Amino acid sequence: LQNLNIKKTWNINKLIYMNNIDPKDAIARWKQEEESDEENITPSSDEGESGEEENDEEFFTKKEDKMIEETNDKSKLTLSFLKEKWAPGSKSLDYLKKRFFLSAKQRIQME
Amino acid sequence: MSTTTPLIHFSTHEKFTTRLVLATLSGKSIKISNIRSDALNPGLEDYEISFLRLLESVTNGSIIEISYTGTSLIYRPGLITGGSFSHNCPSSRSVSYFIIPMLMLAPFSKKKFSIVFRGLTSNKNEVGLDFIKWGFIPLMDKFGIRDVELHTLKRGSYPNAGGEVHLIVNSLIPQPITVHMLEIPNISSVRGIAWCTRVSPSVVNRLVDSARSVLRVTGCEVNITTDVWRGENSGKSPGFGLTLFTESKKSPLRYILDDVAENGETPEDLAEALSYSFLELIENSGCVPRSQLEMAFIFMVIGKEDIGRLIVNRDQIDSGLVKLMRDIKSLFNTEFYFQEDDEYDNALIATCKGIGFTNASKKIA
Repeated sequence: LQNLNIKKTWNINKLIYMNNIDPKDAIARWKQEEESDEENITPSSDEGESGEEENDEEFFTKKEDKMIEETNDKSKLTLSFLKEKWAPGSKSLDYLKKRFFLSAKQRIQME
Repeated sequence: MSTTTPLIHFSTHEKFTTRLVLATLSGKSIKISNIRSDALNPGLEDYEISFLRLLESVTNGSIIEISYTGTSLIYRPGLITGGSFSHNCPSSRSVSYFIIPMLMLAPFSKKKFSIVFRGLTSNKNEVGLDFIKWGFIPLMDKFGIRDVELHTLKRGSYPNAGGEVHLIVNSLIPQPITVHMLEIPNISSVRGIAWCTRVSPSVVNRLVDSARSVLRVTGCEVNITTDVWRGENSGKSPGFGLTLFTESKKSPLRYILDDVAENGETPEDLAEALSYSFLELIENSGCVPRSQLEMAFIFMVIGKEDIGRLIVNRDQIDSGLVKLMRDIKSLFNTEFYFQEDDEYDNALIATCKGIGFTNASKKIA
């Protein structure tokens, strides 16, 4: 598995259920964020085998537990980026406006 | 329940409540190991223990075995019985951590659910009560689960809590109905709720003004109501927050987002950041926002033996959703299939065949 030279478009339907690929890697592969030449399939955290490769130092270094973010849609993008993206007259806003149903009065006011 | 049934193994504390809910619905026994086994404080947290107690209360015959260190757990589910009682939630997590899993179990119970939750009603990085009321409950309605009520008796902000919420689920159904949500709804108005506890009522007006100034660019009607809590019903700590959601003429489903203030955050900062994130959420969502997608997927799986379809945005498919789909496959042996949608940009149609789940206490005609 480690020397797989994968140069193809990943199919999300297969990636989702490939338990030997970590879910984060699966998404990255799907979105083609990774360099396909240097890909190595890493075992999933659910497989419980990742611990075997830890060195002694890592083994004895206890990690602070991270709070898992669940069911929250809050964007991790910066405010300045969002302000720019949603500024009046921006492409994103013009595109999004198509999804808003406006009454005739509102349309006149906007114009 | 026989203790010799094979166990399905999971690792780490990720998706803890969801895995227990899935195990309960499927009736399969699970083992969760490596629970914070490399953390400074290994094992289950107080809120997870509290959730296990709650699960024990709403079921009959469940067996929960926790290892000496608390890093592994075996859960053998019993029957969902429901009932009327109260549950004290630890102040480390908001009551929504307990309510959302209960919403997925309650419709398939023997008796109606009437639970009073006491604790924190709002917390940073967790959904609030208004989110459940205006987001999750309408979604349940789409799956044929009606008559669900959530009454806020007291609001309790971080850190000292003091909130009280009454969850009533009167709808007992054999199985969720099959959905075909293939249309991304147009938005007719934006609504919201600005709330505060133990702070000046002017805070909510500042939240409303700031959110309006950002959302005005959409040209859409923006209606944000204020909800000021005073006296005994306002909990033990000061706090404020904002929930924004869309209204659509054709669909009861809403794009919804909320946030609460943390130390030193002004109402203007909170409302401005939330409003921009809200626009981002609308842009990057299919039929339902990402936070409700897990509940929708679970109801699709336990539906009738028919194909359910739901439009999702490409950006909504993340590692958390992949984990959920793998867990669903482990417990229900069913898979989701995604295909391109020609009608909308960046959209996929998620299809899944329901397993034909039957509520143990209901007979299907």
